[in-house]
Amino acid sequence: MQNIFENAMTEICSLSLTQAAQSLQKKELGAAEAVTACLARMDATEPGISAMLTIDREGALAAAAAMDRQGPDPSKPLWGVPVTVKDALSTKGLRTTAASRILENYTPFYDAYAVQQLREAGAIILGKANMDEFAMGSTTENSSYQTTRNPRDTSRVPGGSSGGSAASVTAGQCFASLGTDTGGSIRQPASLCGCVGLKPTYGRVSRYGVIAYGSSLDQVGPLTRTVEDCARVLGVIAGHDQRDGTCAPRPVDDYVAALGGKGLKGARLGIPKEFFGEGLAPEVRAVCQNAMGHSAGAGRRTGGSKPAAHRCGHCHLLYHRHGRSQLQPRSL
Amino acid sequence: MADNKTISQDEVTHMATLSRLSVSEEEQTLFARQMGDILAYMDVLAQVDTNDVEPLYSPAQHPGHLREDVAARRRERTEVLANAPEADGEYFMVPRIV
Repeated sequence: MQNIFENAMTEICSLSLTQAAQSLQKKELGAAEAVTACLARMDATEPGISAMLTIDREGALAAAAAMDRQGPDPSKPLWGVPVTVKDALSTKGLRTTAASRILENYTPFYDAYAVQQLREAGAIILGKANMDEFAMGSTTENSSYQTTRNPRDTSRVPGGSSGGSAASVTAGQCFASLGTDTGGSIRQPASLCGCVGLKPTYGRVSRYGVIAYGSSLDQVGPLTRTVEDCARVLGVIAGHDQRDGTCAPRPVDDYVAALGGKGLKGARLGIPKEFFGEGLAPEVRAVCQNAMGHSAGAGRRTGGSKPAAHRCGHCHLLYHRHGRSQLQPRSL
Repeated sequence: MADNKTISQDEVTHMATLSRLSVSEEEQTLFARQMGDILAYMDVLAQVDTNDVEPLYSPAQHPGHLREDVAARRRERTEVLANAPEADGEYFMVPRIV
């Protein structure tokens, strides 16, 4: 079993997004240098994990060179930061397939809102990440192009449908990736690959330019290596967009600032008892209870909670199990 | 495990025809069973008492937005036609299907 993670990552690729963004602002790191390091990391890891459907070397290097000529812009929170984007999000001039052969030759003439926000914040788009075709799957095995492998153990799936995004971030190919989540498609692959994934509250991020799966559930969200990085990216992509009628006209909070200070100390975590019922694998139960014990140790109070219709929780889990095929994902 | 709702192989081939998909005999049997299993899970949901639960029409907590019905030119025709396998400079050209 090959573990990609055992190979020493270049120093640059092992930085968090926050560290990289700060180094870029201080000119300790150049944008072209960051992009080159990430592309080299892709060259080294892609044969093992196949996370990327399209890599835009020329575009990314050209954007980086132009940015280096102008110098860092302190008003751009992601200035010079290389990122990847799940192939369900439209990228202007860059092939977008949703991992389907139907869209093999489709090049959008516009950016998704979230992509536009990344660009305006100074991020550099390295390429498009693999996924289950049209987001229909939870293992990224349903891509019509390639199967992505878990960077922590390439005999295992990365999860899905944002498996390419999760693998790309975890393997150090980029500092963040945008995924989409309808019924777990950011959170589950993030969990299986061991990185951070967030599904924002519905309406927090515009769905304009996202190839839809379940429009009343879909949300774009960040996958990153740290929680702080996640907060940073959410702050960039969240916001009101007139072109998505379900997008909330609420102001965007300072998520990074909200992390500081006491953090979760004294906070109360609700754990639905029904999610620990019949059908839960013992290894998963053990990992979750260990994490809860960890939380309790760090000063957070945990307690059982009971959703009104507990059997709906049961059905939600069953829906996920039916989505599985071939290789069964294992928890870490 | 909920009881399987029987879906016949004929129903599977009918759905495949509608979807323009070809389905082998083994796949007919497999899909009939799988579709039956999925429908059976709906019965589990049906057992939940929702008499005192307000229906959820949208997860969005805010009203929809309307804008003035004003036409705006946002795209160039060349951009829009660029992905067409066949175009005549003005229109997409597609195979006749009716």
